[in-house]
This record gives sequence, structure tokens and C-alpha cells, in this order.
Amino acid sequence: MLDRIRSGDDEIFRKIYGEYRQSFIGWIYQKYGSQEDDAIEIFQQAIVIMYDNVVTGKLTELTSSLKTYLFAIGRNLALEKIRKDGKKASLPDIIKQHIEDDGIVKDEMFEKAQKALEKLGEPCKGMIEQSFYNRLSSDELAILFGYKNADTAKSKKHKCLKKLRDILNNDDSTPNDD
Amino acid sequence: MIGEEQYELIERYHQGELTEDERQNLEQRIGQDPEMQKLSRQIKALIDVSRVNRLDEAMNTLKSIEKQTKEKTKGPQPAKPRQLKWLIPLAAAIAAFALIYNFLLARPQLDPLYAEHIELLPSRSEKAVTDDILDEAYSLYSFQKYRKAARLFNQAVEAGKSKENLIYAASAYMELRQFNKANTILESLESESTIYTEVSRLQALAILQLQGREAAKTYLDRRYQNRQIHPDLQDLFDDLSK
Repeated sequence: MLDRIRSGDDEIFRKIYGEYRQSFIGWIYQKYGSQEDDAIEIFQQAIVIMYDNVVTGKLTELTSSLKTYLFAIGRNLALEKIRKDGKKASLPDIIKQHIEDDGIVKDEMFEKAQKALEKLGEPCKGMIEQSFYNRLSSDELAILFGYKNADTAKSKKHKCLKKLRDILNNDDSTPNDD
Repeated sequence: MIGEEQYELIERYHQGELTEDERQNLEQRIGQDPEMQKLSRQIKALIDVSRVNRLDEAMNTLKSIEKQTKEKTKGPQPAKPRQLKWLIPLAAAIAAFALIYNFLLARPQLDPLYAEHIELLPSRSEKAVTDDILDEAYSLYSFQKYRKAARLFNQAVEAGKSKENLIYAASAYMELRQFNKANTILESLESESTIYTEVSRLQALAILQLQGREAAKTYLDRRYQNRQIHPDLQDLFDDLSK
């Protein structure tokens, strides 16, 4: 289960969503008096944070059920939301806080890398993201992106990285238009 | 010239996959070679951007699943009726009802401290209770049928069962956000020594909801005037004192 979550497979999100949506939303409503829209948002945030915890290795094995883990995240999010003015601590703020806690700073290099990745386009962008974030192996990349074998996927990824670096270096030498 | 191996090495470095020796060697190289230093910063930024992008994507996937779930629940839309004029007064009546309901009956907004410190009494389903009414009351309580459970706890105590059972009625009313009723019951339990701490917590929180933080703190002060406050209540007391 955790392996499938780590790979970022849409189907596993669908399964978790369908399985726990009703009970999670009912529980948040009962326990914290949240409105349905807020409870849905908290549920989605909890899944995203659980996903991130699996991928980044904070959650490597479940000592309780997945449901208990998800509800524990939900409890913290609900309290956080109540703490911040009762309702409107928005999702971006909470996810932003979650990743900033891990030392991600959106500095100039981050902005440049973001632009360069956009400029690179698909399938390179997806390949780099799946490889860097979900840590998919060359075998997994080959299956996901339809390459003949792991070697071809590995070589393609390297070409994408070189291209990306060219964009970044080029950007460094281009005078700012502003 | 930077080749595939260097890319891979730096990627593994930022993913924390190098051995101690490999890590030290690479850090030394990065320290000496400006090109490697630049590549390292670029790869670190790309890893961070990938994370942010993938989380955004996951969120969008979940939003689209939610949309599909709602559409599925809604089912196909019925054909529009030709004459809708009679619907207008009905809609107005429903809107008025909703307004009155929200204004008068909706669940009250919770103080953040309430949500943080409320601990409803655990279900006692595993405990053998030999009385029919109490059995039924505890069973209803564990299934979160709080209204009926509270009524039965009251009945059981009126019929001569231990007064301590009433704390479950109070806990049920707390869950129903009927803090006045909960408070009245808890006042009648104030002197019960075996459930002193539980009564103190619930009543402090009921007062918090009814009269605010200052009143809740004063209540705890009064309860523990000549004694050390119970350790289980210390956090709540500290939060109320801030």
C-alpha cells in the first residue's frame, strides 16, 4: 500500500478517497463542528500530507491502520484551522507551512528552476518530477513513460536534465528584461 | 566537463542516499569546484520544485475526484418542469426556515481551546453492566446516539442507579453542544470525589463555551483552591491563564 502511495498512482488516491471520505467528513463535523466544505478541504489536505510523508520517508511503515494515521493528521489540521480564526486558514498556507518546515525556501534559484521546468515541457518535466520527488527507478520510469527499457529511460532522463541545465545556465547569462 | 555520473551523484547526495565516505568526498569536490557547486544548487532547487509541483498535482487530482463524487451522488438532472411559479414561495419558505435554523439552532462556534482540550468519556462497551437501562445507555453512547443515551442515563439515575453515571449524560450533552444542560448536570456532580477530575475538565469546558475563558479559569481556581491542580488539567489551566 505504502509503495503505491509513494509512486503517486492516481488509482490509490481514488481508493483512499472513496474508502474514507464519508467517515472522515462525518467525524470532523461531529468533533469540531466544521462545515462540509471545510471538512472536505481538511480531508484532501490530510491525504496530501500523508502522501508527502510517505514519499519523503517520514512514514515508512504503519504502526496503526492507514485510517488512524489519516485521522490523526486530520485532527491536527482541524485544530490548526480552528486556531487560525476559526475557519479560513487556507490550504495553500497549510501545505506551504508543511513544506517550509522541511527547509524548502522559495528563493531565486527555486523560482528559476520552476520556470525552467515549465519551459522544458512534457514528457521531460513529468519524468524529472517523478524521478526527483517520487524517486521512481529507471525501470518504473520506462513503464510509466513507455520506453523500451530502463537504459533508454535513464538516458532520456539524463538528456532532459542536460537540457534543463542549459535553460538554467542560459537564464543566468541573459540580462534581466525588467 | 560534467557528465551523467556527476548528475547522478549529486542527485543521490541531495536524496540522502550516499555513504558517509561518498558524501564527504563529494562535499570536498563541491567545495573546490564552482561548476559542481552550481550544479548542486540547481539540482537541490529542482528537487524542491518537483515536490511542490507534485503536491499541487495531487491536490488537483483530489479535487477532481471530489467533483466526480458529487456529480455521481447528484445523478442525472430531472427535466425542467414547464411551470415553476409555485416553486417561488416554497423556495422562499425554505430559505426563511434555513435562516431561522442557522440563527437559532445551528451548533455554536467552538472556542479553539475547547476543541483542543475536550476529551469525551470513552465508551464503556467492554465493561459489564448488568442493568438493562444502563446497558442500553452505554451502548447508545458508544454508537454516538447521544440524545437518547443522555435521556436513559438520567432515567437510570432517577431509578436509583449510581449518580456517577450522570457524567456520561453530561459528556453526551457536550457532544451535542448543549452546554447549559451539560453544566447543570455537572454542577450536581461537583462533590463526587471519584470523578472529580473528569467533572472538573468537562465543567471548565462547558463554562468556557458559555461564559468565556476568564470564567472557566475562575472555576478551576475555585475547584482547586487549597490543592495542587490535577496534572491532567494543568495544560488546560495554563492555556486558560494565557
